Amino acid sequence: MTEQPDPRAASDVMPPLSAPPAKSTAAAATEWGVLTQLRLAGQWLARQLQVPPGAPWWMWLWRTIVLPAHPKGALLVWLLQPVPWLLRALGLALHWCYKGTTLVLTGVFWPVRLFLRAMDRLSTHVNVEKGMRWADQVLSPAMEIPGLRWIVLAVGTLAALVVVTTPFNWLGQVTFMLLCWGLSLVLRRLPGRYPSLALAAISLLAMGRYAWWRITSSVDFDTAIESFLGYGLLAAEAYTWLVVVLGFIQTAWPLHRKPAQLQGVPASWPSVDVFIPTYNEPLNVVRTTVLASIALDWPQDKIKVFILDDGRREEFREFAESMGVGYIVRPNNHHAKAGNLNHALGQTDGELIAIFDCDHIPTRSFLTTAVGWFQRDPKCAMLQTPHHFFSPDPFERNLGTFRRVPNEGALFYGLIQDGNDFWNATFFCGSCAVIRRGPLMEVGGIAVETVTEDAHTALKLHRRGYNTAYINETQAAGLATESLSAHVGQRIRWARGMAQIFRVDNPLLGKGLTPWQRICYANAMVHFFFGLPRLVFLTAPMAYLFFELHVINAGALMIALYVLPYILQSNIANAHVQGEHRHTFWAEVYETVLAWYVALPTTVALINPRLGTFNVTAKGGLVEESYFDWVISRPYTVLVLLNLAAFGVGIMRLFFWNTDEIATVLMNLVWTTYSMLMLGAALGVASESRQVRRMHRVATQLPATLYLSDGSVLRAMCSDFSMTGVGLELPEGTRVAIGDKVQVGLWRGDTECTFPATIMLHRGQSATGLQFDPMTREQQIDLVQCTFARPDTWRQWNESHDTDRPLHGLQEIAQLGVLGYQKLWHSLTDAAINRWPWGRGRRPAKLSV
Amino acid sequence: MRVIAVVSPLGGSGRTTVTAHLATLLAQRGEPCLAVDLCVQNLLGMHLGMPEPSATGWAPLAGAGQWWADGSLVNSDGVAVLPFGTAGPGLLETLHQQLQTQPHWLRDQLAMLDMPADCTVLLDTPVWPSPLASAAVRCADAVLVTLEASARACANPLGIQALLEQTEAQPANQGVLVTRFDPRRTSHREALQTLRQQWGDRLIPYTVHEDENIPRALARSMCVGHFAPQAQSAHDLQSVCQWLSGQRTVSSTMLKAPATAAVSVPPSALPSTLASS
Repeated sequence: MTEQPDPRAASDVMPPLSAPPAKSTAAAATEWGVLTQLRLAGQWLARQLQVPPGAPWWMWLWRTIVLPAHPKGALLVWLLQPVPWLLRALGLALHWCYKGTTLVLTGVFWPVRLFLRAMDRLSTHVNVEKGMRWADQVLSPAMEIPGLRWIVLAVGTLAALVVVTTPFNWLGQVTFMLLCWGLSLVLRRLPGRYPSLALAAISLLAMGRYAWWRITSSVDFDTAIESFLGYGLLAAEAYTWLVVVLGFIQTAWPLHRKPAQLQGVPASWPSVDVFIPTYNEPLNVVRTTVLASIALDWPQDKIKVFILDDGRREEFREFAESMGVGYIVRPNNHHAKAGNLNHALGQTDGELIAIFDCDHIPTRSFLTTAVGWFQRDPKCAMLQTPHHFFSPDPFERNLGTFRRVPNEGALFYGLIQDGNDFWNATFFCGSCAVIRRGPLMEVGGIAVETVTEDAHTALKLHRRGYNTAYINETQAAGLATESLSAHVGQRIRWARGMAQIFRVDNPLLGKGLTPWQRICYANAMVHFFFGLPRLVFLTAPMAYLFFELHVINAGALMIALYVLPYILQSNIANAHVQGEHRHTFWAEVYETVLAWYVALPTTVALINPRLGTFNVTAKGGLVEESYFDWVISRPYTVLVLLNLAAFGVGIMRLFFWNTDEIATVLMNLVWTTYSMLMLGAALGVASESRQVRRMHRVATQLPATLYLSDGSVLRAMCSDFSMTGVGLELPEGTRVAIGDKVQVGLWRGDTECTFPATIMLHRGQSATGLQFDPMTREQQIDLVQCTFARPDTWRQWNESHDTDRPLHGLQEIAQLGVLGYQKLWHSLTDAAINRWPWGRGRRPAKLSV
Repeated sequence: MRVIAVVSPLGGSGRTTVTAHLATLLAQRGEPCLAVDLCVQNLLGMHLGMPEPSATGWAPLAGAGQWWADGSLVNSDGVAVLPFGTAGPGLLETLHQQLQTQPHWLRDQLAMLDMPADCTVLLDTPVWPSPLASAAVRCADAVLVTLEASARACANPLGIQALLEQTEAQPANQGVLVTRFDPRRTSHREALQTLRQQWGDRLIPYTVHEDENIPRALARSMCVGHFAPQAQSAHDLQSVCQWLSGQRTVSSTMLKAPATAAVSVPPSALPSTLASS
């Protein structure tokens, strides 16, 4: 997490404006001459416009705007004549400006690039393996000596404190910055975990120095209001430091647990109840999950599937009956999903419970992957697998980054849960998990005190001394939230719930947890308080730009010297440690979008955990028409306008009003620009792109067979699938017609299954669309097994992500920001045209981007 | 010289089709290849490009006491063919008696052929049990038992076991190939399951689909890879050929398709120019 502190120049403030020049009382004699000139000009104009003398005022307007006298003599044309020239000149000037800037930047960055290259070359000379061997031989036995670990830790902490608190002058700080930078440039090229740890440690040192300097030498304020705002900004920054330190501990050593082999014969494996809770989701969403659950690889007499229908729908009861699965309803909907699960716990008796949200389709290997650890570790109470989404979430869809940029959840499931697992602090995420019944009943079932029952249940299990586990292998996949509003609603619930747990069952207090578990849980909760600090960072420069309040009491240069190493080092460390799961700067985009909505609920929940209600996330909906979500983007629009105004004022300050502290103004302007780009990206997310299909299709490459009605059988490649149809790539020259009834063969292991289908679309060899005809129960199960439930379906998913290149990422976010403003502008003009349809006539509102 | 016998206890399970296609595919790869028709129906030639069954063939020649391979032909794919020739019941009787008195007659005859050392000889046999089929199995280095996916194919595994016990081929070179498979039919799917249980590893992991393209190709005296390269059956036969050549790739059923999907069509696609060797 990076943020830019507010710069402030020396405290001697100049009086804002010099006295205006005295008004000269010029000779009244010239007044007559002016009037004559004006009249002459009027006559000349009338001649040009061919307005007869004494014509009414509208005639002037008429001739000027609507119908000029004759084309050649038209004033407007005459007036507009120089415009193209001016535009061209402006374009040329901009072009040369751009060229010049690039040249200067290239010149400036040339030594930097040389330095980078030299460091990369240097890193090839480092013999990591030798170092590791040495560490194994010498360090490992030494660390076994009791107490030595703690002594080393204490000495290290002391040394770090010395580094952090030693004051430097500007030269010292520059040297420190360069040394840190050089070291981390070498370290980032080295393989293994110790270099990653070292990188993170350096970034912590840089942060510590900045924090120490910030607290000791930049908070000497003149006025009460400046103190208030200044300490507020400091508090927001302190929050980010806290999260960085906690996060460092949390992800210091990701465990990367592998699935454990199942022991004994299948008849001795534990019995499993599969719970599929549902409330208002449509049947076609739930159907796939049920079909996949029926066909999980597990002894048939040891698995029972239950639909827990809080909607109490007849359609679902019939479906459950036809599929031969259990159907459980309850008389009320108390405690929503948690209550639903608890009620079902009372009606069933399986030793293990697998829980899937109704839209999470498990692969057939889910249980064989997950259950091994329950056999190996009798204290294991819960095992979580990642939540994977095969449809784009609103960020990915509206920004066009699907499968290219890791999404919001990628960091959590790719790194943080693996890190938690090392400290035995993996928490339950509500779905795609297995829980042991005994411990769960011991803690009173699923927790109902908070709206994030999952994390709270895991906390209770940990307090009882049970273990949890995490396997980072995607064993189930589901639909992402469809619209931004639904996404925001879900995040609000998580944030509220975490704040509630923090209040009612604080992990830092109470019995039964190790210090490390407390840290992991605390970070998971504190993380959700990002709303207020983010809003502070988005508005902080306004204090200076609007009101000339100095919220950081230090020179711009010193701020830069302290904050640059901090930002640089944390970006290098983050790109190295988590670049695979979250690209640099994307945390800012995700947080900016949610900040406003999360700020209030978390604060309210901290004050009174019982306020507010539970919202169920809507799934399976469809954004039919592209539109701009004005309601959800209102806070960003306001922030954008404020930042724009501040930017304008800043320009005035730069050139006219505050020419004595240019560095300060410039810093605030840069900060505002950065905020505006982030807000632009947020606006881009609020502009909902249209979704084409009701059932999302998963892109793939699977061998397929096409059975034509004339008896010939063709080889094809399945390029995408859903529960309603497939896309096939057919060899060139294949003759099929729209409407043909065919059969499609897909493979499940070494077994081929065929499905009846109709050809709906045929565009040459690469695009043939088929829709499935009605199928039997067995065929439906086969279809799920041949597609969604294949053990390897999601394995290579994340390999399509671009690699993280921080500067390139910043550029991309900037482009997305600009695009966001374009979308906003287009929807504004469209709205205006719809409102006042002059000239062009009405046209349907749509985004042209 | 490697001898591959294609045998089956069931008529109509695609022995001749498989033999002809394997020979063509091997020849297309540039491997010298001879296909010998041991079946009195004398149809192998037609599968390899002859417009009608050849009247001359090894059986009449051998019956007349002449050099048996004088009737061989080569098609444009480079496959050498030794047709059976027209034979009456009397001739067949003579041949059977000859085989009874000289059990290694066929092996000796094959050994006397003037073929390169890396040549593959494919033997198309009559329905087993028969003296010619037994002779083929006895002298084969690899045996391919073709079965269709049906109840009758599952009925007598012990009989097929007895057939395989006659051969000196390594167990790794004995394969059961399921042909004419149609996964749309429940009976076929069930039979395939049973065959899998009966034969385990010996079942070749590729099945040849029942495909209208094969009879259509035969009607034009073409192999299916030329007639319809995109046909599933062409792809299946290609995989079987690869399996036989020892390049046993992993099962085609998971994410990846086998490396070579379609047969590349050779310059002269019509295999009608038959020359005597």
